[in-house]
Amino acid sequence: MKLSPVIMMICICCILAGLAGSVAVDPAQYDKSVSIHLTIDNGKITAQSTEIYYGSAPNLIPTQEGFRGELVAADGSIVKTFPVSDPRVQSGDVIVSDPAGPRIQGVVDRQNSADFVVTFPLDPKVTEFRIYNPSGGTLLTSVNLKPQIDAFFAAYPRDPDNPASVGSRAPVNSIPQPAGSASPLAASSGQVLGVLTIGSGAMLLLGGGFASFRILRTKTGSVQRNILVVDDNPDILSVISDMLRMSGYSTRIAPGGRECLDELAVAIPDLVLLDIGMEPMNGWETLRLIKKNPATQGIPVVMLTAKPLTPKDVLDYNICIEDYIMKPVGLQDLNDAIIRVFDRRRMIQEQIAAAKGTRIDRKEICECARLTRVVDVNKRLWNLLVKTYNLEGGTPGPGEELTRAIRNTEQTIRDQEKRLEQIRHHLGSGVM
Amino acid sequence: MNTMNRRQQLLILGIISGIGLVAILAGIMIYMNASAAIIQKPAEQIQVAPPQQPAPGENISPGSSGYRVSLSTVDVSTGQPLGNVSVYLDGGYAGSTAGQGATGILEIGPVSEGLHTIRVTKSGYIEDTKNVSVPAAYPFKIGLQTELLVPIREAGSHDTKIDIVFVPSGTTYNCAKETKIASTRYVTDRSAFVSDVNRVVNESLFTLDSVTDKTSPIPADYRDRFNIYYYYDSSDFADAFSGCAGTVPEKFWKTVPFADMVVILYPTYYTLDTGAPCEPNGCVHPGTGRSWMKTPADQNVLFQHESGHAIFGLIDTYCGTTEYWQNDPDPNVWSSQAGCRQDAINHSRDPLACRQIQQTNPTACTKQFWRWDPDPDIMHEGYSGTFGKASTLRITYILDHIDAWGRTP
Repeated sequence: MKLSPVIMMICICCILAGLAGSVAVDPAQYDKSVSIHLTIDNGKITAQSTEIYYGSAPNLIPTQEGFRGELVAADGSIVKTFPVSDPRVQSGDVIVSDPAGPRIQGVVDRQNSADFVVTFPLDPKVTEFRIYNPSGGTLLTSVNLKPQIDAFFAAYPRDPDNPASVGSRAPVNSIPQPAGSASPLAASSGQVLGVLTIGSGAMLLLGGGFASFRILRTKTGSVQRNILVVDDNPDILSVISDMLRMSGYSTRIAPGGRECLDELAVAIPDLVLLDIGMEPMNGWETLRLIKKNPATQGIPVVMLTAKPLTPKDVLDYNICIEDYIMKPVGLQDLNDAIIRVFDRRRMIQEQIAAAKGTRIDRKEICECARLTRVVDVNKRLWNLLVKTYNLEGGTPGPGEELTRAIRNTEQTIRDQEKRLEQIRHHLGSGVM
Repeated sequence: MNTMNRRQQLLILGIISGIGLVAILAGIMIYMNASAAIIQKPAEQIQVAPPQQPAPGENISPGSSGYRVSLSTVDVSTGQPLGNVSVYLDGGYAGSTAGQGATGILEIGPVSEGLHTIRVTKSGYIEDTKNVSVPAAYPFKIGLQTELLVPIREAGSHDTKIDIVFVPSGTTYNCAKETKIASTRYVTDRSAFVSDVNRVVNESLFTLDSVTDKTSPIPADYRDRFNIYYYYDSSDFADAFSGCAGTVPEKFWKTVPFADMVVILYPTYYTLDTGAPCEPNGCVHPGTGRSWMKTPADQNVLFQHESGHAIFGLIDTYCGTTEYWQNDPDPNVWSSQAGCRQDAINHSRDPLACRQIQQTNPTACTKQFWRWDPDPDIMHEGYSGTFGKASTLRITYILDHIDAWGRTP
């Protein structure tokens, strides 16, 4: 039995070492290409558009007959000359039968007009493309690339090839690695060290993961909680659900208030994440109906909205909601809010359980539990109000009426805290 | 509380697990570096991402104010979260959704207020760029579409290999009726197309060593100088008989800009025995950036003839209605007898084998161009033969000069 953790560690090391070569993260891709769309009409070439985009350009097949292309730098020097095939000519073959046997015939399709595209890799020092008639060397047309290059780097200022930032960054693929000079012995030692480090890390990871799993199981009594996400924006529904699943919750979704009530009639979730600005039934109306129904009034509801919280919202709904999350919501904020709700519920349940069997008045226990939640929620909402209306900042704050309303909320919280203290004192004996 | 609450316990365990994860990653790096030292991997092949620094004047430096941007990437065909997506903010690498497993969510920040570009890339998917305004009311969601391009054989980067992309045609031609006809073989059966592509590659392109000159052979690793792909869009097919060389699907060039040669493949050409005027079996549209050819799947030698034009720049050596020029360097057709003979002497070949391109049967035909390769020459016959010494030299030249842009040392 004592050997099993060692064997497990060795197995993990071997698996991880084997997987080491297959970490599937793509290398950074910064190849850029220029495509110039041209038309030729009875020998006259006109540039229609120029596009610069991320991606590799095709290779240059040498010696195609047609025109001569030139890439020119800002100082007028020629960076590259290359052939551009004549787009009006396509050469084909047809194999036909003949009394003497099969033979090949040529087919040439020649036109006066044609569209064509010249594509080449972007070189930031190139500022102009020119195309010449090779027979007389006549310039047929030129294209100034600078506006498109400037526009491209304005859209992608952090690209390492951006001339404005050259010098502050290392170009891709330009940092030479020292040639492998380690002796085979040193390299083997490195491999051993690597495997040992992987093994130690795996032990820590497994240990931490296992202990976390135990805590989650023993403390919460359930492996996975279910959250109903309600929002009329399908993108938000999808993203929030993804975030929640990533955090280990199971989710259901409802695209509106009415659908939320329908979902609640099917099964009771552990928490509802409710958007406010929905049509036709908004979040507040949905919340009112959830709390009106005895079957659903106990479900914790967290409001999710882009709309700033108002003191009136706090006064009207603080009894009904557990938290209020402002969009855009990050993964951490979302997790914090949900864990806070579940932790608070668990703590209150533990307190009630501890008070059972004592001679303490059940009414007082219930009031204590209710006030614990209300004070906690109200403090969160008050903090949100202070942040939203910048009461702590030096910049001009909200109007007098709004400030007064927020201060009233603060006073209400103080009163509730006092009452909570009184009840706790009365209950005494460290139960609460 | 005199003991840690559950959240604190979980936090500490999370830190321990995090240290474990970092140790695993460090161990992997140590292991891989040690392995790299053993195999003496050339240093210049190692790709290094640029260090992440803010652009001058940009308000996103660590510690300055900004917004956290949540980004979610999904596979549009399944709607499922997509992990391991590389994310670039304003052109600079910002991270990979791999950092958070396969959930397809990445948090970037701090990001300054205003308009930004977010580019996402992942192998096997079409890359996408979105313009976003920060702050936004909700997390950004970017859907990636599965690439319509499927690799058959990838030997290296696009710069250093000849990228050949096969595209199925929804049409073919009936010469007896002199009409283009719809072909359902590839439209209804993707596997038939893939099977034909593999056969053409294995029996035509990858048998070049058997049809080229053995005394001055093409590089032994010539197969490794090609990347082979096929492109299949079940809603849009190429038309091999729209114009001489056909047309490719509308979205093709946007999704496969790096294609060196596109091969429009059609199943078969019906009734070959009536002669002209019929549409060509094979045809090439050369271009600087957009080149394509068409060829039937059931004629291996014709594929070699057309790819001789399209990939290697070889010229027809039969006499007829076709294009002639001296395709320097290492040509297979010369614009003068003297040039042909001098080149033959330079390459230790018999100068007297130079002959004018001409034909007396069925109709008299003479061109002011000369050829050296003996018959049966693939560029002369089209349906049989081999590549002679001159053509072989030209093929080798192209295989040795893949990146004429000079992107790679």
